[in-house]
Amino acid sequence: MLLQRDDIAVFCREGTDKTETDTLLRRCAERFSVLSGAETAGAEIVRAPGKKPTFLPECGVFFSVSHTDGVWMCAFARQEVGLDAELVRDREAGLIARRFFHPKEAEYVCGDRGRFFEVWTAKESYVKYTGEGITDRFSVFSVTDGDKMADRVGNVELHHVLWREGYAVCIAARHIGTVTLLEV
Amino acid sequence: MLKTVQEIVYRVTGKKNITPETDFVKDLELNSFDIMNLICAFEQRFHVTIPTRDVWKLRQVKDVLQYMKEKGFKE
Repeated sequence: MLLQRDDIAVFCREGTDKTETDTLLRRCAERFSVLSGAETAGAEIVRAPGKKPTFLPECGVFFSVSHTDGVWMCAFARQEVGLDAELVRDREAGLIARRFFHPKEAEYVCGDRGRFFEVWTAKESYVKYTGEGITDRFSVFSVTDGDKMADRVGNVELHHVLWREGYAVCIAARHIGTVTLLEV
Repeated sequence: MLKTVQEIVYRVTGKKNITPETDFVKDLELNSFDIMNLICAFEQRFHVTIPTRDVWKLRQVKDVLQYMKEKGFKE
């Protein structure tokens, strides 16, 4: 197989929106099956309120979808995974950081847009990994380590993906092997 | 108050044609970051703090209007 147990495939598509998500997910699932040997045939995409989308019946394949400004991305893995992608935009980074980030993260960001989205995608990929989503706990944990980004939160690894200039992309999973980027 | 919310949504997201029934995620296709950006703008404009646990209850524009009414803001 091309993908080993801890490897993660990140599928990308530009010029699309959320309405195509299920079609794209099925296509990604087929490709991931070929690349990893994991079987997803017969599994349906199920969404339940307050829970992240999943395959049922359980097939040992997990995914996490993110979209930003016409870009659709999805991480596929044989373990729980969280993905977040953001276009680096001109926003009041300092205000949002003070409101939603841990104080150490807000200090790290210090009004820098690039750093802001680095932190945001790391935090959101983590809460997508855990399935809790953005809650009051969002400002309680930190993805920074002094004056640099942390490479994990607890026992969950964080991996920043260099996709394209002007975008921040982060993956969270228990063990992150090789990350492969694929067009879909 | 609807006009104020429409102005905020336009300023933050660039989206127009906002009605009380507009759903931030389904209709405007906003992601979590966009939503938090909006929340900050609502908090600044209405001088309130919206607890993170309440954010996901504000799915549609009318939910924001109702929330602000309950906080004491009038039409």
